Amino acid sequence: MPSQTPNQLDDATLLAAYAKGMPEAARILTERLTPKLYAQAYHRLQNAADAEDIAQEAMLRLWKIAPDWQSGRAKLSTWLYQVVANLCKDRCRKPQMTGLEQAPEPIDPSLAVESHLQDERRASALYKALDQLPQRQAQALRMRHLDELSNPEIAAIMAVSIEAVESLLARGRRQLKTCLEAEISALGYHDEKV
Amino acid sequence: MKKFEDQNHEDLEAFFLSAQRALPAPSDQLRERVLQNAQALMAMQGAETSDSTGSDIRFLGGLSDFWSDFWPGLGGFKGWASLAVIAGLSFQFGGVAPEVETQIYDMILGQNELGLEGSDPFEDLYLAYLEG
Repeated sequence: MPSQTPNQLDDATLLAAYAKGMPEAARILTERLTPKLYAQAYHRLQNAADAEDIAQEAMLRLWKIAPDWQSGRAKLSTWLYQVVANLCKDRCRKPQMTGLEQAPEPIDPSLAVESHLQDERRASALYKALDQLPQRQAQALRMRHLDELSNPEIAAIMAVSIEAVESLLARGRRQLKTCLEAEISALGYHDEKV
Repeated sequence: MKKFEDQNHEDLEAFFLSAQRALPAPSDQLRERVLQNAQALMAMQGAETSDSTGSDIRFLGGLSDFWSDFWPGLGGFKGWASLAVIAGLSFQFGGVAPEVETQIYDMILGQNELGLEGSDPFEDLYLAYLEG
């Protein structure tokens, strides 16, 4: 059996290695997980500074739990997902920041300005539409299409069957399309059809 | 990867793709902060692990525990000092100065003071034994 490089090891194995004092394991886990946690938080809060804080806090909780983590108990990514979801809920309950911290993020100069603005307008419309959906439908849609989780992973996180997830997604898409009808006409999507 | 199995939702897919593309990149400091936390906690947890499982340290700690129980059981410093004095006096009386032992013996019996040197209450019995 060929030996694995550290980058090929699964999250739980790397976490166990970290708990035994291997800094390389922490580096790989940081690079592998932090961007996902940040993206998950951003898609819910639409604020980069808050999303960074939450990603950092979630990773801190991961380091703390490392010595006690039991591989067979739960999937690490599922546990982390729930940590971020809870932190986002807590953040939403707090009073919203005002002023500069809510200013829009600077546009990436490497992207064409028009294309970037189009993406931002669509993203903004999407987030608003998701907020109008029943909570569980929106949750399933975010996990499936923004966080790119599989249906079994969503089922584990939501503690429902895979069939229930498929049903939530189907109903959610129909409702979302209804909510976005005006924006679909106004903002278009034909450039995505290749 | 085709995320939308239903072709009627291609328009929705465009919106989700836009949301992913509009995601601002995290700052460089985020990675540094996360790694700093990891290293700080690793140092703390490593120190705790060493205290609880390091074999050498555990052995020394065991000795320390042994002495901490054993020493008071012997009476501590006072107990050891008393033992040393007794041992010294015993040595002195037993081997080095027999004349001191005789003097003490005489003092106890008071025979020198009474002028009864050589008197022994069992002397008569002893002489009778010698004489058969």
